[in-house]
Amino acid sequence: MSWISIELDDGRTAYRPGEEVSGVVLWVIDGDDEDFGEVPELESAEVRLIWFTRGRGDRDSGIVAAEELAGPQATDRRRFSFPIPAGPYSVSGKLISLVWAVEAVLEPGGRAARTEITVSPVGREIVLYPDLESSGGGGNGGNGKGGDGGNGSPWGGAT
Amino acid sequence: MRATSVRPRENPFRTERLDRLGFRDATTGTPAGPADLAALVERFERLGRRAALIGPEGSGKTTLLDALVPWIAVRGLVVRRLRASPDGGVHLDKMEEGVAEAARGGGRSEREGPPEVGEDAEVGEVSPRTLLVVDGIDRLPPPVQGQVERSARRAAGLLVTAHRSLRGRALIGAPFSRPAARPFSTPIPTLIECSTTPALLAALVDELTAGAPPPRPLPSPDALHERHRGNLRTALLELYDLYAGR
Repeated sequence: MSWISIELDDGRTAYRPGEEVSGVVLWVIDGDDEDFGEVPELESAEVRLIWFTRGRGDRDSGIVAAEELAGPQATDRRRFSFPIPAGPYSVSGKLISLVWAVEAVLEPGGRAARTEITVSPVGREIVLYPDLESSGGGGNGGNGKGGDGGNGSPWGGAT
Repeated sequence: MRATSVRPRENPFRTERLDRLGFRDATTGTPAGPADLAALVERFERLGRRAALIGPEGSGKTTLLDALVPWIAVRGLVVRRLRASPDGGVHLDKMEEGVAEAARGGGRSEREGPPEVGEDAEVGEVSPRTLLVVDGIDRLPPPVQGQVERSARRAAGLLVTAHRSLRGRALIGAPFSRPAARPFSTPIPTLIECSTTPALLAALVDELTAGAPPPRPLPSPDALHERHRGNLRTALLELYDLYAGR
């Protein structure tokens, strides 16, 4: 079985501008992957510092820094580090969230891993509306769990 | 303080999740599988590689088109895809991944001889190995529709989406107030008529929310479906707004 993973140093996920995000990318590529059949040799491996938007409407994204990992092997472990730029900050409004991440991509095949991070001078995502302030108590909280329904269905009767 | 709204990156109705929803059967909500797509490709072939996906706004025409085109193009065709924007503009999309090799001439037999290649301003280069795909053909400006008709005669196939049937009557008309230049002279048979139901909307919402209670009560599927006249995209975006507290 093939896999790829990103581990950030000290398990950190929040960074201030000017700090450095660092860690390792690890992967194992089976020569005969059950999902992809016979896998050719790796041609390239790259790790990137990226941001992207999530929300309503068109999506946007940017690659802030990228590092080519020369001579990738089928089983490998590579260190990386990127300086965190001055901005933009990790932020959520009503229409979009701007999300930062470290991403690793292996070619051919486009196998990829992505670890989301927070970039902010206050060490947490900037939230523009008070009612978004505590959405389930974490970066990847549920979709409004704790509401009044409690019957396993999202549907009410309102029109 | 308990959250009353959901952040965009956690909103179950965010664009990236809606874009990943595949085409579904309107009555059962079952995703279209390989057998369904293969059956449509076979029907497309039987129709002489000239067909239309018909249905109202938000009924899944483009979603089905996205799923179907790679199945057709895998036969070595080069995809030329035009998309009409709501304001009447025309976008020539990049070629589908996986068929770019064919576009560079890979796999072509020496015996075939040089292809007959022609070019219209908006449609671009079209040869007998081109699958011409037009998303929203009834929204294209009349002159571009004329170019599509000319180009389609040279192409290996024509697959379009439209809001209403293109069988046996003028293509250009109702959606536009501008005068019709000239109609599509050859009818385009219907490959499938896309539609939606409240049950399908309910199935999609249940899937997207994984059954989790919302921050506020949702409208009933029937009311939501009716309010949006069956347009699932705008219905789901209303739910995005509801979750976002907009």
